[in-house]
Amino acid sequence: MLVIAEGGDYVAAAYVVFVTLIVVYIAIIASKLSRMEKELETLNELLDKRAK
Amino acid sequence: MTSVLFGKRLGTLAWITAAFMLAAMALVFFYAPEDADQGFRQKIFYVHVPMAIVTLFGFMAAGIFAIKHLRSGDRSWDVRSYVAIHLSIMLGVGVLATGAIWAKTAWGHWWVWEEPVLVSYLIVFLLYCCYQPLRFSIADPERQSRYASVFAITAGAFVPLNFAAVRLAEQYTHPRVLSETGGNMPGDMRVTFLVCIVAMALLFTTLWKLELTNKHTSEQLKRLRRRLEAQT
Repeated sequence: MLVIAEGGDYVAAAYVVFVTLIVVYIAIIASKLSRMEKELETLNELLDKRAK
Repeated sequence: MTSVLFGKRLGTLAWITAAFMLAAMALVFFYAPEDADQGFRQKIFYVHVPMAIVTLFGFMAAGIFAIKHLRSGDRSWDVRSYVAIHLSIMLGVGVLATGAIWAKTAWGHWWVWEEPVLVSYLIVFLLYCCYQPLRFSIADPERQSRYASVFAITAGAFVPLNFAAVRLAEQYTHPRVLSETGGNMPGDMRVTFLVCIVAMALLFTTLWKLELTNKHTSEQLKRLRRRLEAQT
């Protein structure tokens, strides 16, 4: 059986808060990046149309 | 702003940061001894304190970038300042949350209003929470960046006062981690703590560069779209 040290749940909670913050932050940046990728695609299409 | 490449060497920096974070976690849980007074719960200190120190330096760095912006008129410094504040606020939420968790397990209360360290950090945090509403309440981009820089400089100068207030405060219930002699920690705890600070500073720098790159790319895309639309 896993033995949790005294206050171990609080320690885990603190580190989970930290990791969650970082993951959420990176996820937000990643979603913005994917939006920019789509926009870049649209601009490329626009340029292709013009070249034709 | 077009000549600046914020994303330069971002990949290398991200790998170094990941290595330092892993090393820091390994040291915290497998090397650093348990505190004689607080036991295992003292491990919160290794995430809470470095995060607090890095956010306060982030706020001060934002003030320095703002000075550079006002002196040079180069808007890329304003973006640097904005991102540093934004990131420090985000990590500041983590500082307050981990601090509350540590307070609960160590003292039995989520928050202690008599504690100067907690309250002064909260004041700094709330002060910077005003930055974004102030910034985005101004429509003109030129005025917006100028006013935001003035705020960043004024608030950045206030941050060292936060440190001074903590030093001068007489009543200590919060564990004191850094004294004039460099801390009263045993050697292995101190090494772990220093590695944690370096890891947190690297994490801050990586995320700062990542957001700057993101903002810069977005700005470039907008310009490109405008130019293309103007030609049609």
